[in-house]
Amino acid sequence: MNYQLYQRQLLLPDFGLVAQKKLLEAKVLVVGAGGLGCPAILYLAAAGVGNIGIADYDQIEESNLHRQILFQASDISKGKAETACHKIKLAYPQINVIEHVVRIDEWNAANILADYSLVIDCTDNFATRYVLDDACKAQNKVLVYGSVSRYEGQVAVFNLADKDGNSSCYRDIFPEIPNEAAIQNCAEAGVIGVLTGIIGCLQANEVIKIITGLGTPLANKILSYHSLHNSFYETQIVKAETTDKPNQTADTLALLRDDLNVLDQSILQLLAKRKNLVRTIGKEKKKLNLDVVQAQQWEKTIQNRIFEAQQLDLDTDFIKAIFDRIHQASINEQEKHDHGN
Amino acid sequence: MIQVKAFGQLAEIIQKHEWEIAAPISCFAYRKQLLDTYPALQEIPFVFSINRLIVHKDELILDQSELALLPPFSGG
Repeated sequence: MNYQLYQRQLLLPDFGLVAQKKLLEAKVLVVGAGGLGCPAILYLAAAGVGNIGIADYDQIEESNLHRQILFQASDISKGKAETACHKIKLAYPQINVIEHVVRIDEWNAANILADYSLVIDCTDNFATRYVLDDACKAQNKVLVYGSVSRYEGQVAVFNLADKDGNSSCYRDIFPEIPNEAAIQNCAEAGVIGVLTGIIGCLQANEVIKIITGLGTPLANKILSYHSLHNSFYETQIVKAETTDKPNQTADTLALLRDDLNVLDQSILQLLAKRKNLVRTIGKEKKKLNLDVVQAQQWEKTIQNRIFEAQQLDLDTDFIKAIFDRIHQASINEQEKHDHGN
Repeated sequence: MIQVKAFGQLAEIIQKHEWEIAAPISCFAYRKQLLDTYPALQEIPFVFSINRLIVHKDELILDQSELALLPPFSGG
């Protein structure tokens, strides 16, 4: 190992030789050598990730150069995977780079991925993203996902357990592949190179954390970044297995009834909570040798409820009837407890 | 009130990235409201995140909650 080359990161607390050795032994596949892939590949090679596979079947175009920073004007119309590998060999000859000039699909994915311990999704289309998601899930391989849309980006780490032992995949967020035409990509919507650079670097940073065991990776979470507002937003992923499919054509009445059901369930939960509280109060009354029925107390309470009901524009007779019935049930509950003991 | 945040294309279609709505409301009912008001959203399979937890089922969004609307991004 060339200590001088990695001296500045070897100095870091908790980093050291052990972490560096883990990086040198790691086998990482970067799928897509574009706006995300270029910075990710560059920083991983610079940090000393020993084996880097680069998969891309595309050629370099002039409009790529503002963000695909491994390439230069003289590279136009050359292959991306070949050129990226060539640049890394020149800059970091100690790193083993492997080119895969192929479009990864559901037939070849398992074979290509098998040689790597970690995959980075730097693609620019849903078809390949879902192929990688399915293949990594099948092989239980960590997938570091990144994507952009105009001034925003997303990063996540899939198939890696968080501190509670939960892991997730892209399909746990978006179970079905979106309509490619409806979602903006860089070619149609535009993108600024710095944004893909930030997201690609966030992906590379997650890869280094995962390989070395430093810090807390974005396992079971998705991070959104907005470059114009300088804001990060982290959300925990909950598996979509128990998904209720929203029926978007459902009529308004059915949806409103759904709302009513949810509200009714809330009322039931509150009544159950109230019953428990009433029981506790009953025990306290018994300790203090008080009667179950405290007429004055109830009179005060019901007056308060009626006043509050008026404020909420509720029918006071209706509210009085409900609370009288609740009161009776509370008395029954406390007397039951009284006699029971 | 519920604080709502929209990301990516959703914020572009709705033309704001943060706003407030009255609580409570269920996820499916609010989704329906959004789709009725902004039909362009129908093409985008966005998910709800309540208090930074992705929610796929219909849940009641309570007062003081933070709701995020997350679309998928494909660019790279």
